[in-house]
Amino acid sequence: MIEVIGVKKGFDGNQVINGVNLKVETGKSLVVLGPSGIGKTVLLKIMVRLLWPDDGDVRYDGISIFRLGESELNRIRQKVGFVFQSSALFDSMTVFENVALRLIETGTKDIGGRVGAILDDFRLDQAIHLYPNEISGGMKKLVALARAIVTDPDYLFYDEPTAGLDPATSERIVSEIIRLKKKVGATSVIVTHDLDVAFKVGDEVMMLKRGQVFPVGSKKEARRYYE
Amino acid sequence: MRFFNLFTGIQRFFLLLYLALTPPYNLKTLFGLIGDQILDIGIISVPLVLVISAFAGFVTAIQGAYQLTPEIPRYFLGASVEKIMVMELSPVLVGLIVTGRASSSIAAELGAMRATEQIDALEVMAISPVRFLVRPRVIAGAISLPLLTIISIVVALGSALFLSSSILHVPIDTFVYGIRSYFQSLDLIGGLTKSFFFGIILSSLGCFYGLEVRGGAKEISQAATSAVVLSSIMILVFDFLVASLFYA
Repeated sequence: MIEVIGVKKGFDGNQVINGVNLKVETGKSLVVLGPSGIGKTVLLKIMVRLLWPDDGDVRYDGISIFRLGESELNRIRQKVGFVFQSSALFDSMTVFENVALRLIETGTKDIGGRVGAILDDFRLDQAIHLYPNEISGGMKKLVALARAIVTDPDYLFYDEPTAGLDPATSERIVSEIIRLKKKVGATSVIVTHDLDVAFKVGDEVMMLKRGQVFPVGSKKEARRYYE
Repeated sequence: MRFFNLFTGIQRFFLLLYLALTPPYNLKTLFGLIGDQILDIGIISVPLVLVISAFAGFVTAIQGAYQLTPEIPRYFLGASVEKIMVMELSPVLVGLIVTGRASSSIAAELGAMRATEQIDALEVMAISPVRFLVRPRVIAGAISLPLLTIISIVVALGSALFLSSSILHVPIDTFVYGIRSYFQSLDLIGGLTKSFFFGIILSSLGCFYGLEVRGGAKEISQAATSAVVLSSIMILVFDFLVASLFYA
């Protein structure tokens, strides 16, 4: 279970997150919806301690990640998969190396087999020796997904997983997220501005507005918040 | 405020260097990463070092010969070229050349990685960017620079020897006699100690400025420039400090 408790964060006097409380039950997926530039990525980065909040706390199964030392934090992060909006693939590594890196660092056995199986699963086997600048944006997203799940994480975070993609690729990414939800069973947090995506992948949908979150039950209700 | 920023910047730099050089070491991947960086920092710089060292040898020989009056034995040319190249010119030239090429490239590469969230990706994957990116570069810098300096010394002495014997009327035997008579191992130890520190300076400052990037293309180019400028200054400062330690 992931809990966000009274998190506040501002930049240069601009309060982006203003007392957010969230709870994601184990195995469930929460979608944080909101227009671009509202602070969704900031919230997501705080949830994995890439950013520090001005106030508040984030707990994984009751453990506050802001009170942990580096090695304890890394033990939690080893259970985390994160898909960045920009994919954030390592330019100097091939698709295979991008996906395998985490396994190499942890000394996992049969890296070739595991990575090969995941890349086959995502139909990326043809791109295995290519570099990120040689593949399309949609493929980058799929590689980022493969990289995030290669260690069978307990927690998955997606930052705008369909942003900038054409409708067909976007649809494919959404179906992969739904498939992964069933297969991996991870506790997931997805931030997106896309209403369709939100209601397809989320067990629960919250709207981030003026630094706070509000539950929304339907697309119609969400649209009202946008307006 | 500026003084405070400078102070905290220095503090962050030394913390980065400390974390880069202290355990834990993942030896399974570290040697491969160091090898890649020796290629990037050292081996790719070899052609540049060869050309510049050859011309440094020519110039030192010509200007050394210009100083020779009839009363001064001609073997002094070999001795003076050796002293200048081994103790000072090769380490500093190599340090400054590699700074211009590698320090800026390290800063730009890590800066781009910061701007495109690749550093964040490493962190969230429980891979320390300092140990994965900074450590291999600093170690590779510390290994590459002394090796490049040795190459530079050999090439510079060779080119000076060639010019002296072919144009400056100093026979090969006489030139070599001068080198052998006046060479002391401390000359080489001092020169290589300098280049060892220069390697650490240029790679660690490149990494530091790269990781400090907040923003986009403009900030990345500023980081690359700052890395080169400060590395060059620090190389000259350490040149003085090591020279004082060995030869004062």
